[in-house]
Amino acid sequence: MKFDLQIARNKLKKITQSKFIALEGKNFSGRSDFLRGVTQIEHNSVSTVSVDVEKTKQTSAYVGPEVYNAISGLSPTVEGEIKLNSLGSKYSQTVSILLKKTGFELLRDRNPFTLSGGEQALLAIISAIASTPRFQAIDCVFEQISHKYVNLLVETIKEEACSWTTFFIADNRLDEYENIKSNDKIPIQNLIDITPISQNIEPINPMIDLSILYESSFPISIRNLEFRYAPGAPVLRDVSVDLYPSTPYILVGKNGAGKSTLAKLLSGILLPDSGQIFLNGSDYFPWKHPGQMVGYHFQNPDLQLFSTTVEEEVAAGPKARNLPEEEIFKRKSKLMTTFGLTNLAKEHPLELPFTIRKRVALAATLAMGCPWYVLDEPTLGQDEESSKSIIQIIHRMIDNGIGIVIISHSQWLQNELSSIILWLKEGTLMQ
Amino acid sequence: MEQENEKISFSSTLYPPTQFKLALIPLGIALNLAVGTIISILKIPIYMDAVGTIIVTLLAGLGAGIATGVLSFIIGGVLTNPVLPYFAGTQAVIAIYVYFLAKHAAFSTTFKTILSGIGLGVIAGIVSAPIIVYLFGGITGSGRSLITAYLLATGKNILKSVILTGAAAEPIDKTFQCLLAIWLLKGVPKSFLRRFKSLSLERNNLI
Amino acid sequence: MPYSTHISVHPKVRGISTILAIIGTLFANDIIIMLFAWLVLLIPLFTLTSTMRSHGRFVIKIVAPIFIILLVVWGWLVGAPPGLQPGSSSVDGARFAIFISLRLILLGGIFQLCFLSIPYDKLINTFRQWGLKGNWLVVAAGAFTIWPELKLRGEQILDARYARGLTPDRKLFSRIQQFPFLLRPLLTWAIRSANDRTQLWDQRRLILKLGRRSSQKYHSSFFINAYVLLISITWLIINLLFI
Repeated sequence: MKFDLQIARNKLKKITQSKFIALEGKNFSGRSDFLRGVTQIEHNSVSTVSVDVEKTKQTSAYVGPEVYNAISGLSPTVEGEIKLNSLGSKYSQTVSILLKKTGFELLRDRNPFTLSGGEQALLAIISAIASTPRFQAIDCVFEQISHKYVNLLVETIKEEACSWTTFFIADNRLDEYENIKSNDKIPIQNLIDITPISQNIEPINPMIDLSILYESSFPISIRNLEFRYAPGAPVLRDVSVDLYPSTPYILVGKNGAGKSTLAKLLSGILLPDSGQIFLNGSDYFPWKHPGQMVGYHFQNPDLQLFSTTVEEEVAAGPKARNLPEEEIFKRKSKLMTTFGLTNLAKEHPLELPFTIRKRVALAATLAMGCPWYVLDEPTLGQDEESSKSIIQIIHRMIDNGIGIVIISHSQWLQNELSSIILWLKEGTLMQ
Repeated sequence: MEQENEKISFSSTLYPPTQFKLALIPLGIALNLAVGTIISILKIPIYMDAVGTIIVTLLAGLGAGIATGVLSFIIGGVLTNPVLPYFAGTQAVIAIYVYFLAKHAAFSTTFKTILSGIGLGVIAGIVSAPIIVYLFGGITGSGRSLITAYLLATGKNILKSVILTGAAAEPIDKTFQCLLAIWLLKGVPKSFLRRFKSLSLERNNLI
Repeated sequence: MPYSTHISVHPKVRGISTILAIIGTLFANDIIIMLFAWLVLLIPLFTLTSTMRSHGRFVIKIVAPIFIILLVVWGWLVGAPPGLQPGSSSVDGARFAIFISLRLILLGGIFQLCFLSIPYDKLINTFRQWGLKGNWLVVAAGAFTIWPELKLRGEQILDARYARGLTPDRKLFSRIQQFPFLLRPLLTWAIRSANDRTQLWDQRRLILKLGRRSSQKYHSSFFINAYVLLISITWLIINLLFI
């Protein structure tokens, strides 16, 4: 897919002179390529005018969904990262205010890569702002941050606090952010008029019968769970809740509240410091057999892709369970058809775009056929149509007795699922 | 119509910035340290501390490979064992050996990789020997020390004992490392590897 | 990493002193003097720079086992130091074991003192003062920050395999089986990261900024610099005189 970046930019100039532009569009409609082109990094377009970066002395900043790659890796602390980007910055005061309001003051001495996904996303955006770029692109990153902080960022950007920079936002949840108004939004097809590659991508098909995956599920009870990563304040304290299959749950809380930690305790990755977990009334120790009863789909799909082809990846879970070949084949075929991966069966998962990698990881997790799942941002990077399809799949699983807990910041998802909200605040859980 | 028949491809235009290969060095260093640490935690009696050096040499050439090896041992000295830096020369020799052998497609098949690993082991054993003799009195504290002790007890001189120990034990270790490095590279998407424009990768059937 | 901010030695003094001290140690051949250097010179410096714990770990976990084996081999099995007839002098063999162990402690200890006492926030400045510039400064900076990141990523990948039920239990054999599956995504991530990060560095001119940040004036104490340099020169001279 090639488009002329310079023509697209000229069109944009004619449409708006705004310094805050939110691009609307579906997956694979060219938003990411446009953003990458505008910020002068590797992209899939033809530019008729090349920009001599050295001569113009203009910097730019692209923050993509893989936020850990938007952190420089040159500094061992959060403070060092901000300071490095801030050298010569026009926005020092703005950055200080943002750091204070987002609670990063308390995280100054932390290694950036030990932060939670949402905290890394925030750090990536703030350090990009600190570098005073001429153009800054934020590509499907807001979805990873709590709405409170997204609105804070947008408000700060729009209030002339970063007046030298033109901001480009691409996000699949633009309607959920109250500070992004309709006059900020521009459909990408107004800038790029090529046949979108999306015509070649299979859609998600929620109507495929996935009963092959369904195992009867059981209630899970958690009593007085406590966990801390290091000596100091516990991340989770006295967490107690009863979870029932066939009921959708959404786990919410600000970035760094401990949502992923709770998911890891449930799936057996971490061992609680104290407390108990019961499965169907009996003592349950997920630590001994991790991922067998509670499958956990990570927010970052790259961590859960291990095979060299998509079909191997989807089949890996059933193979690990020593299921019969016929069963493995059925699960693999059904899931690949459901998630639109059939044409990509022989592709290397890590070569695919983020949106597709997320689908592969989700399909591969569901292939295990666990009675319970924790799905961390299952619709991350997916446009509205794909997100709706994923929700439909989740609905059907719940209707068929599977237990599901979703971690998400999305208001839309909470409404679509009519779920019970589990709110994690200061280490305790409220229903 | 042309677009309908077009294979779905997500590779974008190649972008080989100058610093790209240099950015790989820290990652190669970390790989050396990571593999070495995991092996020592699992108490497996091999070293596996040059996988990153081998990989970076194949991907990014001699200079990057030497830098990876030498810096690995300096940083390893800070993080784990402060005597490691004195062995940094061995890592440089490993990078040089791998670089020249890769130019002659010495890693293009499993059999050739095994032979190359054996050769690497012998050379690494010989190069490390004087350092082990001078710094450690012949004894490094690993399982190989038993072989050295036996040879010393039979009356062989210290340098000969250490060289013979190295020549016996290092080939196994280095062969494993070469095989692992090639296997790891084969698992990386080829489009990622093509960015390096490395003749070594082409000649050894890795892209 | 246990970096300390107590004592600030100028990087050039730090580098020169380290080299002189290492050369001095390589010429050292008197056990008593070496023991003195370790106990009276190095240990107080480790204590002052709050790096005693790392040094202690090195001595106990690495040198002590080697010392025991050396003692067994040279003091008993061979019964003589290298160059002498086997069995001719167990006492000299044991002395050789002590000598090698002390030299290991000193060489390792000097290296530890050089690097571990660099204040964390002065690390890049130190490399710059040692002559690293431009891309190589970036390599050095990246090399020291990457290890925690890679370690974390390795743990995350292992966790991810547990989360997908690909590791049925926590037995040692199961964990050993995970090893290759851990490394492949790690390498792919490393290559992709290298690509994405260099683009980021280019976009934001971070290499220039790193150079500018690290070329800020280094403040250190004249007396501490003089003291450190004096010790290392004295150590070198003593050992050269004793050859």
